[in-house]
Amino acid sequence: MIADTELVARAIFSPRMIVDGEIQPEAFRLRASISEDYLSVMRVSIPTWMDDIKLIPQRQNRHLYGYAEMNVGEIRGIRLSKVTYDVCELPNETIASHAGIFITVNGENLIGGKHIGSIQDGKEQDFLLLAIQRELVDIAQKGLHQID
Amino acid sequence: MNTTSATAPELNAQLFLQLSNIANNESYLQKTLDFIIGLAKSENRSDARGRVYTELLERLSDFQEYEAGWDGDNALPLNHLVVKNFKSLLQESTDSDLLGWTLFPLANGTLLLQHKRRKSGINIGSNGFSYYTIQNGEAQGENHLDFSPQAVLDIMKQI
Repeated sequence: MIADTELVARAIFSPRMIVDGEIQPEAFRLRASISEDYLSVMRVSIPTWMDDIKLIPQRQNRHLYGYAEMNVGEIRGIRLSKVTYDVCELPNETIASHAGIFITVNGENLIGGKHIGSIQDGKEQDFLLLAIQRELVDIAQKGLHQID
Repeated sequence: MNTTSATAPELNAQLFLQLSNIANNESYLQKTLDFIIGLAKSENRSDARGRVYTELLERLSDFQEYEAGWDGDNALPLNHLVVKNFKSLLQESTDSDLLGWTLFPLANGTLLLQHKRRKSGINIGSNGFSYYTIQNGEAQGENHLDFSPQAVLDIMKQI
């Protein structure tokens, strides 16, 4: 269980994700290409987190450019109707500090590219996804760091 | 006579041409008066377009250079119809309309006009637009509305 007082860091893998010091909403999009079901973050309380962040696969167009520190309690405390945010630990053999931001809508896990079944005809889905991203962006903006 | 997109020297040249034609053809008098009225309106709009208009246009220009994969993943470059729609919105806007709004590209090739302080945003697509606003913990909005500059301006004022 990650305490509300902890910080997690969301890695930014493209300079395009920060425009004039503003973090792009797309930095908090669940990717459809891999059916992403959580937003990957690192627990700052784990001493190896900065080394761990560099272990995330980097390739063409994808290099570590910065990170946004976010308070776990603030993420969990977002008040958005039908939507809950949680942060859970996901350590593995190589990345001890790995964690994820999980989002549910009406109790259903949000997955990149997947229709939210509980929303009738998908009528709300597009704008709801933008609203979900916006809440995270507003928190991340306060803890944005660029790596030279 | 189009007075909205011409440069100042072009407008001056057109004005000179119209005035010179008066001597030869009296029917030009009314047209010239109409032209001058249009010119005055155009100049008023130019005055109203200032820093915010320029900033958004510059941002758009930067985003137009983004290539496929600009997000470090599989994002699309900006759709040219989306760019056209956004430019038409700018043409119809004054700085006071645009004040407080900023612009981001989205991975699907559309644009997000996002308010800096209020939790509101408008997603401009190639044919339509969507918007959201968060008030008292409730996300409200609409999807797939028909695009027109005036329709977006109305929503910007509403939210």
